[in-house]
This record gives sequence, structure tokens and C-alpha cells, in this order.
Amino acid sequence: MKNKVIALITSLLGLVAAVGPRTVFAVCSSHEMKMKCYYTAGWELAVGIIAAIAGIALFLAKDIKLKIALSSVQAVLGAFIILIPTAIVGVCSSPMMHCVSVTKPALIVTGTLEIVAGLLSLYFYVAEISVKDKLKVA
Amino acid sequence: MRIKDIAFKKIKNGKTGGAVAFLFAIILSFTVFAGMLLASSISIGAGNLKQRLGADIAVVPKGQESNYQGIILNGEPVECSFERKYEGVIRSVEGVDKVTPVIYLASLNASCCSVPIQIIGYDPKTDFVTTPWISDEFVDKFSDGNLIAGNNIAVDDENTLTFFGRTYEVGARLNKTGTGMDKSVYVSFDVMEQLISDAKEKGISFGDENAGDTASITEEYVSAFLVSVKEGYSVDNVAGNIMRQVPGGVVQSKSLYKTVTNGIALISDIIKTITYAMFISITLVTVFLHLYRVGTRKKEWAIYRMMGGSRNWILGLIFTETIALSFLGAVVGIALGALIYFPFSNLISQQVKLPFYLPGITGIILTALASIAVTMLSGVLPGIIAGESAARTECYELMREGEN
Repeated sequence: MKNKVIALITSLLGLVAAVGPRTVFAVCSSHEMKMKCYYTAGWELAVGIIAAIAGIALFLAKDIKLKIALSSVQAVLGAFIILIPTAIVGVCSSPMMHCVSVTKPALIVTGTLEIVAGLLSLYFYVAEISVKDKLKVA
Repeated sequence: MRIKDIAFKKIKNGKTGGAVAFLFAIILSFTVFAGMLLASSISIGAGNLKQRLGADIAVVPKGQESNYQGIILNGEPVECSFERKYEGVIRSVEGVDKVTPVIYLASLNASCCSVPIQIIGYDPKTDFVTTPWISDEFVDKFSDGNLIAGNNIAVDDENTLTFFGRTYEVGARLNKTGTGMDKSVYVSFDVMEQLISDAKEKGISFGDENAGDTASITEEYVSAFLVSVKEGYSVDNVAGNIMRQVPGGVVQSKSLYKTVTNGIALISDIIKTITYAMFISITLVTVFLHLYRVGTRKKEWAIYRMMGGSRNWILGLIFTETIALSFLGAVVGIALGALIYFPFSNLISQQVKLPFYLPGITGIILTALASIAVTMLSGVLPGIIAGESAARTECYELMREGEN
């Protein structure tokens, strides 16, 4: 049950990362020129959708090895959610901009939670495998 | 097996029944950690502000007093002009030690991001406020004609800033202060002349309509005068004398700093009240939660007693479980607090509208340790009460009640 809940949480966090930079914690809006944060929102949309789909797959998957793989993928995607605004693409350079004070931290929090959820899921599935192995030996 | 090992195994397997108490520990720890960090951030910011306030009095155009506070505290862009002829009048007031004029000019755009910022012009000949601390904060060498950018100013890749269509090289970047200085750009009066002239072409006038047509504009108009008072003279009296002779407003550094300390006192009081209220209410609530969880495991205590476990041993186990739950909750609460507080520190500093500077690593570690201590302390009373409740009951009663 707890694994299913975690899978749904990872999926939800993926959606937040995908939609958030365009809605709740939107990047800067400029009609004159496209700033870095505009591209960050684009990258996050792609990565977030993948995370959301991977979360649903994790929820539905039956094979434990697939579940382990998907949990690892979620943790990696969480790292990407953080790295896109901080290293890969970046945001505007002025700390006074909305994308720096709101979007970037929100994505850092979302990404960190995604990593934690992915790692927790991974831990529970690995523990499940080791318990099964012990039972087989017994 | 030691009590500690049993307690941690129980927690790891989720068999303590203390999930809600754990959640409360997270809430308490989060509140204490984030609250203490906020209080120390604004306190350090106020300390930085105090260091940077070099003048005792600022003489500003009438009605611009609150705007001047906005520049110093938050770097809010302001534009105002004051006839420079009053410099001599202020200088002649008894008790005045030094006087230096400053010019405040608000830009339209800074680099790629269209944020208006404050440009502060200082007179190198008379300045005693800006240059003393700028020289300590330099990262690179400063050369004439260059700008000195505050820590929060976005600089182009070429290390330049564009104002009113002209590009200037940034000579130095100041270290973070947590005050309005982080959001300002500093220039000497000769660069300011150029900026005012360019601004005029963009439709932004400084001073009188025709100012600067015949002579240098900074000779005719400035934005404010910063004044230091001679030792032995009352700042209040000198400020009063200036007000009588100059048609302007006066802002005293001590009143500016008092505004900040009042703000800090208010926020600290709110944080203290919330922390005390949380500590007391969570301690009381968790007493009942731990009594409940101990009550649901009566059969377990009976078995321990039959296996030779003493009352003190059971008390020790329950107490250890309670404290361990508080400790783990505190760690998670701190992690959550750090996860939210540090990334959002920019936003928080914008919202509190007070000087804001994050504490160093030692301060953060001490805050975390204090949060853990407070959260664990809140588990002491519930741990003792719940442990006593289980340990005092007779073995046969525990067994019988556990069967119900």
C-alpha cells in the first residue's frame, strides 16, 4: 500500500514540476525577449511529464525488478528537476527576478521531494526482494 | 539486546504506534528551526546595516523621508533632487562635522531583465560614507568610470551594465550585506553626470528642467546630504537646527535603525510566542498520544514483565522510544525546514522588507542543535508519564487488559 502511495506522490510531483513553472510558480514573462527561465520551463515540462508517466507506470507495474528500475528513474528525474534551473539551463541572473526567488526554489523543493520519494520507493522494493530471498533460503 | 536497540528496531518496523507523535515532533522542530533562522537572519542583517550607516543625519527633499528609508533598507528605486546650494548652509550649522552630497537616480532597465534599480552617486572629494566600506569590500580593482555593483545586481556576461543606452564596465562587486545596498549600483559624480545626461535624452529629468545646460548638473542639484555630527553635540539638536535653516526633511540614522530594530522585535516576539505555544500544546497533546500508544501495547508489556523485565526496564524502553521518536521527528523537521528556508530565502527577504542575511554554517548548526534539543525536551514529560503508566500496572492486569 505505502509503495502505491509513494508511486502516486512521485507522479504528482512530476506534474507539479511540469505545470508549476507555467502556472503556480511561473517563470518571468517577457514579450520582448526569451530569457533563460523561459527555456527552463520548457525543459521542466518535458522532464515533469516523464516523471508523471513513470510514476503511473510504477503504480501499475507488477514486476518487482521493473518497480526498482522505475524507482531509480524517479530519483534521477528528481535530480534533473533540480539541475535544470540550477545548472543545465539556469534562470535569470538577478536575484530580484520572480524566477530566481520563486520558480527556482520551488523546483528545488519539488525535485528534492521527488528524489526522496524515489529513493524511499527503491529502499522498500529492495527490502522486499531481500525478505523474499531470505524466505527462499529458509 | 539493549533497550536502545529494541526501541530503534520497533521504530524501524513501525510497531511503536507513535506515528502521530512523530508528526507533531516534525511540526515543532520545523517551526523552531525556521523561526530561529528567520530571527537570526534579520538580526545579522540589522548588524550589517548598523555597520554601513556612516552618517548621523540625512537631509532629503521634503516628503522624501520614507523613500530614503526604502533605499537604505530595501534598495527601492527613488529619484529626487535637492539644490546643492544648501550644502554650505548645512556645513555652517553648529555641530556639523562632515557633509557629503549623494545623488539617487532610478534606472529604467538593468541588463536583460527589466528591473528598475537604484543608482547612487557619491562625491569622491567629500565622501565619508560610501568609500570607507567599499574599499574593504572590493573583489576587483576599481578604476575610474566603472560601476560598483551591489551583490544582487545581475551583470552581463561581459561584466557590464547598460543604463539609458550606454554600457558601463563593472569594476567591482560588493559582498552581500542583506541591506538595500545589495540592490544598488554606486558611481562617482563624474559617471553620474553622464548617466543624468543620458537619462535626460530618454525623457527622465533630474533637477530643474534646464539644469545642467550651462554648468555641471551635480554642481547645481543633488538628491540628499549626508551629515556627520561632531562629538559632544546632540544629533537631535543638530538635526533641528538643520531643519530650521534648510527647506528639507531630516532622517536620523538612529531612528532608521530603530525602525529596523522595532521590526525585528515584532518578528522575534511573534516567533517566540508561536514557539512557546507550539511547545506547550504539542507536549500536552503528545502526553495523551503516548499514553494511547502505550495503552494499545499492554500485552507486550505483560510479556516483557513475565520474561523478567523490571518496571524500570519497561519505563526505560517507553521513554527511549518516545525520545527517539522526538529525535527522528526533529531531524526530519529540520531537513524540511532547510529544504524550504534556504531555497526560498530570497523571497523571504523580499517579504519581510528588513535587512536580511543568512547565518553562517556554525549558526545554522547551532540552530539545528537547538531545534533538536527543544523537540526532544518536548518528549521528556510524555515519555515519563507514558512509561510510568505502563510500568506501574501489575503484570496480571496488563495481561488481562491486553486481551480486551
